[in-house]
Amino acid sequence: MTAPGDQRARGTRPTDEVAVRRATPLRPPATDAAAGGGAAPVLRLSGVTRRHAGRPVWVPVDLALAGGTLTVVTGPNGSGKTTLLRLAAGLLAPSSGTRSCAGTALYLRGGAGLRTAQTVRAAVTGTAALVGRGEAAGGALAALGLDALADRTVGTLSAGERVRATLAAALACRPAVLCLDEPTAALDEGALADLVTVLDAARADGVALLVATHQPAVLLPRADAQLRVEAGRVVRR
Amino acid sequence: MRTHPSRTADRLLVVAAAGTGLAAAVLALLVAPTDAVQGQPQRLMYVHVPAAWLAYLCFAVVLLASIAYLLRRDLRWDRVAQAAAELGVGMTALAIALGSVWGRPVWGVWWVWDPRLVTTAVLLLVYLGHLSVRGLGDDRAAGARRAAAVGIIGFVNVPIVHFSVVWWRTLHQPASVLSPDPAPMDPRMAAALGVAVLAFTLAGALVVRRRLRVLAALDADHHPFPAPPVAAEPLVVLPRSRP
Amino acid sequence: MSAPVPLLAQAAAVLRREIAVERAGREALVTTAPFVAAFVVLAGLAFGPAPQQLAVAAGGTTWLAVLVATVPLARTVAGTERAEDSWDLLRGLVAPGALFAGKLLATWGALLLTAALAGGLVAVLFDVPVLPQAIYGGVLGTLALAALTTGFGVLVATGSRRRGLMAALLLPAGLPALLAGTQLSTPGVAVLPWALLVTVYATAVLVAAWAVFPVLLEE
Repeated sequence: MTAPGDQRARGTRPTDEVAVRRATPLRPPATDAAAGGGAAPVLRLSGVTRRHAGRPVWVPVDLALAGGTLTVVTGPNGSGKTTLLRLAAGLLAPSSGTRSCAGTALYLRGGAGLRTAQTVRAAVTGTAALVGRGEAAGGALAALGLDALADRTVGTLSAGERVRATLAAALACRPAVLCLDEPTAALDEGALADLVTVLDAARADGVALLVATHQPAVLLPRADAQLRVEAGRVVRR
Repeated sequence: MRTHPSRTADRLLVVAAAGTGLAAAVLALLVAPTDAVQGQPQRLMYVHVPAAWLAYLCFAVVLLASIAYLLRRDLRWDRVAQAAAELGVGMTALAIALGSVWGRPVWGVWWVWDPRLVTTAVLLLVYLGHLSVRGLGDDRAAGARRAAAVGIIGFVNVPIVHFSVVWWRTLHQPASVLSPDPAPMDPRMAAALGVAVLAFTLAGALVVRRRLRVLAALDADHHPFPAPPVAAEPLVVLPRSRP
Repeated sequence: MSAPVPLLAQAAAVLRREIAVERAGREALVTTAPFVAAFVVLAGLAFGPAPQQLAVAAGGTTWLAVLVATVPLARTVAGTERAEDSWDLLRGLVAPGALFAGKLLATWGALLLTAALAGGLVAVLFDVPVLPQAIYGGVLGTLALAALTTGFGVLVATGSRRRGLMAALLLPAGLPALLAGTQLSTPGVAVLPWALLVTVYATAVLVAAWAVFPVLLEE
């Protein structure tokens, strides 16, 4: 496992380049596609698959994520979205294929990830301290508008507040890749808008975001790509 | 999986195990004399001792196969560990049950706190645990890893458990009920025991081999991948232009 | 990429996090302290009231309480983290070696306090002396149990059969700690063999748990 590296350097906001590699981007691609140009991938899955109960989840996946990108993952329940995210985060070992990641990759389910008994400040500081970045906790709390909530217990937060608190902890650790599994599930419109703001900021910081959701409407307009998991394949939309 | 040569080996094993088993039965029941002190119950030893021997042999195989699995990550080793553990657990239970049945008329008690008994009972629990952690997750390889870990931690413990019970007894009670009989064993008894051990080992090998084939067939049902309708495309996500 | 956080520093951070979480939620305290206190009082009723009978049962009572307390305590290693979905974040941030060391130290601390509580209660309620060798046995015996609890706590973190399985795995494996700890707490028993045994046991279990821990983390 690696500590978060200087992803900032890697994630310096790339120029507005569009790359097409046998894949259709969300918006009509520019014709002067500079494939491979711009940001180098921070995460690469090569021929990766995973078996559950002996059955392969999908056809081997080749996926490369550049820093500062937002990828939305959709698909029916049980199609393997969570498996894809957990593989990307390095929590699941691929049954075949290889994974390489330049920096720390984190996975958060439903916006949870902090111990519920702790205060927001203690939980965020304690999490960031795991990678020697405890001093970054204050800034992360402020950036996510959590100062007023810092002394509340995590377990007492609303769903939207809890997602923000967890993201504050995760972002304070400077991950290269952040895999969010259904962060939008329990959010109202206001909280959803907050989440979008936070994700935009994280992307601007060079984090590669991989977000699985059943409510892609809010995220899709800002996404760099949409992946759909269905019928045993991960395909680009 | 495997084909004819192994079937031939199986047949040879069947013949060998049946032959030695028959010989052991004849030796144990008809040829070997009745024990002067213990009487007829002593004949249980011709099953009890081979069962215990086979159990220990199986657990040694589990340890080696567990280590091999963790090093190689080849499910074949995991199947060896599972097949051996299943047989070992059965043999351990048989050995304990027969020892108890034998102990009642000979010692007057069902159980004594003898190191061998306690260690064997602990082994039974450890390898039951080894078999049960397999089913915890839905991933075949994860179950194999867990089982291998339990197999290793459990086996490391066995000699220490044994010594601790040995000391526990010797430091508190001067004599052991199970202290070895000073009288040399009648050669006919020794022969019966030897042939029975051989018969159990051969039968055990046969059981493990057949079980391995069943387990391999179960694993083989999981085809590596469904035939992809279309070759998977590389998915490369780069920042796209934003207005 | 910047230099990874040194292993020891990260282990210390994990330990500090564990202590902070325990101070905030008191999960380990609530799951073990009342249990141990009730266990010792009930053992006194079961074995007493004759002082000589209590003296004979004292060491065994202490260690049985400590050994059985590992089963609920094992949940604090990974079970609660998984239930609160914090395990994935922890796994993503912390190297396996540091995670093992931090969790081991936290569990050891909890078990040391459990042993001190059980031993203290037994000393007072059963009116028996606390022997110096009992303290040695307590320190190393709980270290061995902590290594087992950490390993099995990660191995059996989820599932409906978790609790029964945890007991089936932990209790037999903890047998040498129970025996050595009990003997070292009993006056008039040879110290050297038991001190040696608990030392060898703690070393072997620690090495085995450390060696298989990264494998247990794989999912």
